[in-house]
Amino acid sequence: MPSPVKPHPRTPWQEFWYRFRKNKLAVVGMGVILLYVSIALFADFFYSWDFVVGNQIPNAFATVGTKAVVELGGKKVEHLYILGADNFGRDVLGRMIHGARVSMIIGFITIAFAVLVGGSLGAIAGFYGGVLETIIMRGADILLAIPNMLFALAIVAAMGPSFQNLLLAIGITSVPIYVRLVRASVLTVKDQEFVEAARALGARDGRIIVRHVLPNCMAPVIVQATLGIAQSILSATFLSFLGLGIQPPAPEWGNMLSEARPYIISAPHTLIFPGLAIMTVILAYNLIGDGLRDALDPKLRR
Amino acid sequence: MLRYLFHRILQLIPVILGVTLIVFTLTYIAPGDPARLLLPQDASDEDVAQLKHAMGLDRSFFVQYYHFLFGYDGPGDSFDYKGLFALDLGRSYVSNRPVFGTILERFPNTVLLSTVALCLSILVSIPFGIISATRQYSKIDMVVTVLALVGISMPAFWLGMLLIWIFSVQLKLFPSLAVPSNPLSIVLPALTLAAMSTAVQTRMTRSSMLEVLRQDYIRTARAKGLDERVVIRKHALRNALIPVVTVVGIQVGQLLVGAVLTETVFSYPGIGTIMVDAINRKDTPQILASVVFMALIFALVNLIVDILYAFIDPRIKAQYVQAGIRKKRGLFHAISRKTTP
Amino acid sequence: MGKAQLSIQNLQVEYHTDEEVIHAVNGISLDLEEGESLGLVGETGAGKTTLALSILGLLPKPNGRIVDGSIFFEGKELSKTSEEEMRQIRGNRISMIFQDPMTSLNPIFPVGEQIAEALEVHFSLTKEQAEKKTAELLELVGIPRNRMGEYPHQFSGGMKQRVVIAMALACNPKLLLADEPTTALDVTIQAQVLRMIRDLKRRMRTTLILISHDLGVVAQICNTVAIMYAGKIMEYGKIEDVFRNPLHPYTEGLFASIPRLDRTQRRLSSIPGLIPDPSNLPTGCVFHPRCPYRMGVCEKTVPPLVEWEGRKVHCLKYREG
Repeated sequence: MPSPVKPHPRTPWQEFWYRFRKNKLAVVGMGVILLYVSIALFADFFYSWDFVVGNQIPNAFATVGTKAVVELGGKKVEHLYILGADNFGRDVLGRMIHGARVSMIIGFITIAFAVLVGGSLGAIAGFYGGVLETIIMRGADILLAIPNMLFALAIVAAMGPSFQNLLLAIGITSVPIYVRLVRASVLTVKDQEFVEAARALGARDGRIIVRHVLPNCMAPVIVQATLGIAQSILSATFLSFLGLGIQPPAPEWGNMLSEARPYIISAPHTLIFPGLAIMTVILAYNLIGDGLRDALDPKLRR
Repeated sequence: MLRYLFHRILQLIPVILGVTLIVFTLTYIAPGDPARLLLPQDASDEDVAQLKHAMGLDRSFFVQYYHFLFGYDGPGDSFDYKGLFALDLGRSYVSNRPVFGTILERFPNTVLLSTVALCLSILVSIPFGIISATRQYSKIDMVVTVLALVGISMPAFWLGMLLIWIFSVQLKLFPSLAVPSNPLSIVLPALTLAAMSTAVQTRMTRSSMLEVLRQDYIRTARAKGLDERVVIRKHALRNALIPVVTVVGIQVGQLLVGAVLTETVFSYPGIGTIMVDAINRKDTPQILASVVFMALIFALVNLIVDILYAFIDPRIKAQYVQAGIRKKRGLFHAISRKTTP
Repeated sequence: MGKAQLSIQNLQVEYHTDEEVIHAVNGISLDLEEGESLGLVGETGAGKTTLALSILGLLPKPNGRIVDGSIFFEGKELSKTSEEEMRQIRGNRISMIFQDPMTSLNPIFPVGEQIAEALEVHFSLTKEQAEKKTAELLELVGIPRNRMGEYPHQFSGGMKQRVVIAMALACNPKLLLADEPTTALDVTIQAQVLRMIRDLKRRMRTTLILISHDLGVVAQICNTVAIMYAGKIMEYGKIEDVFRNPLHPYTEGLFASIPRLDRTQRRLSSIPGLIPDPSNLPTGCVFHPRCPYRMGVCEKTVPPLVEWEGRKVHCLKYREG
């Protein structure tokens, strides 16, 4: 006898994973990011730091696939420039791989910071209301009134270019969106019965926020954080391109492009590949973000 | 409507104060002493202190912020300025010209570039967003969706250089340096600048249109026997455009930031190149002025967008003009399009 | 027969999603004489709204489609009619009142304009004539004519439903489909709106299909009633007959689950089980898993339509001869 209800009620997590997996593009994006993360983790295994930072002037502008003799640790070895060499004869692929490490770190740290700070502020504002809420929300409004990248640019321009300042600038400018998001979610869950019930049972505020309110606003935050990582990486390359981020000779995709700029005519490969790297990473995060949103958005469910 | 305008303009005041306070704080806490920078390397601490006093930099934070907003009248004349509200923040450390003079002189160039880019992006994104939504899952929808995804993932400065490489180096169609007087030279920077906004707006139009097409009132309109084109153009589009207008407003801010990059790539004499030059030369007043100026323009554009918003969506206006409408109730012509807000 | 204004024969409608096929309407046949009013009763998900949308040709695209059967309206087969011709029928010959008045009106146009629109499409009226007619329609449904320039958000739910009704009646339709017209309204407003639909129907001689899950609502307005379950009609007949003596076990269950004042009842009974998953319907009689009179044969045999005591009923309990 066929049962009147579906025989396979999935857990929310299975349901989410099932829906996410169906989105082929998002899965591809996930694969790309895993690839980049592993490349970033094992960057030194592929190319040593000294090699990608040290000049090899005689091989400057070696084209894609050139084999040339390089000095490495005082020894002369033959080296294959898979994606060619830049104006200092440094291996483009090697610099891109070490650049991936920088970009991944920036993306994760800034967004982790923004989610923690913004999320806490938003939860406090939503949960307690009153003057505290007004102060937090007006502050967020004002920060949102300045375009993100312009604000980040102003911060590093004022504080001086360094890795810490770059992280700080991008981190701070990413905060307000999470304040708003979490507060909005908290407001919608706060008065629902299960929260009232928890309160009636004598649970403390902190426990209610952590156990009941936050899990209910995870979905929008996860989606936003994924897209936020893309935005952070883009901002970092943008600032580095303007000379305000990672300083050469340390490799970073944005400063690689900045260095390649005068050689558009003579060495287009120094321009094309780092740009492709930026684009694929951002694209991959956007694909995952879209996939997550579709999989998590209950409004789109059948 | 007047009440709404008034209310909205009033809301702008704390934003302006907040933005200026943030920008000012940044320069205040910034490491490095502008007075020492201005003086020769071997200047004595006494000289530095004297110059600091002349520049008003030895005063407290709030006094300096007050000066920043309303002007500074120091012991000497050379460091006086009338303050932000008089669009005077003193002179550039590098060129010794009034900072806002340079900005206002070059701002029209940025406006020109951004306007061309904005028009381009609106003209492309809205039709494609609509086509994509009304033919969901068709081939053209796939192409538009993928292009838009690539568009939002492409860093503007890279796109600009790619376009130079393709169109000026390889094909020799357009010059790689842009000047406002040569329309041909604006093509590439405008395309570069428009790309991101076009992609964002296309995605927004598409999703907003899809959302609206699912609404019950669209089914009602179809059930009335309206032509599908009328349903889309009249009933769906205007509702779908409400969120798109906000996005376009945000895009104006993105365009300004994008202009910084695009202008740098194409060496175009706009406010973006002023800012980048000032940053490279540590020209604090010029940096401060350009950042504040852009932030204010952004706030102003958002104000305009919000007002437009109220024109499109009667529900928002209604919160402020209930009384007004009730007076008009009974006027028969209210049904004709003339009085449709 | 044959003179029927609306004739539906063996209609089958499916919704296709990525994962499954939902069988929303599974072989429905109905005949409606002009001026008749039919109540379609069934639980949520029984396929009532889908049936109405297929008549209007407004099944959600691209998922919903008619896979078999036909719908004849005034002798014309609607499922084979061109989109252009359907457009001229919609809102003009056949119109529909939707379930939720809150979302059925476009928020950015004045209500008057939304009513006038239907008139302008189907009759070549000048702006002034359309306005005059709109004002009359609004008064007909009890809204002062001077409110026609106002926007939907300025109306209450009941008032919005009146606007929707005025819109549906604008072109004197021959057939009116009312999909749960009172479900979203307060109980006090429900009665008003129902009375209004009944009076307007009488005055305009419109054929009516009233969709509801509420037997009481149907009893107030309709002469015939069709009980739907899982996309099929279980029982179809004159309203007095069905109410007095329900034949189908499902109808019986429905009546047993509403409180009655004219009898003493210990407790209300409910039908055990849930309505079947429309993507995975039971074999044989769709109702057999929940049927108290289930016989072995019910699992295997799809019950034919049987004429029984002047009614049509789909149940193996009733066999001719």
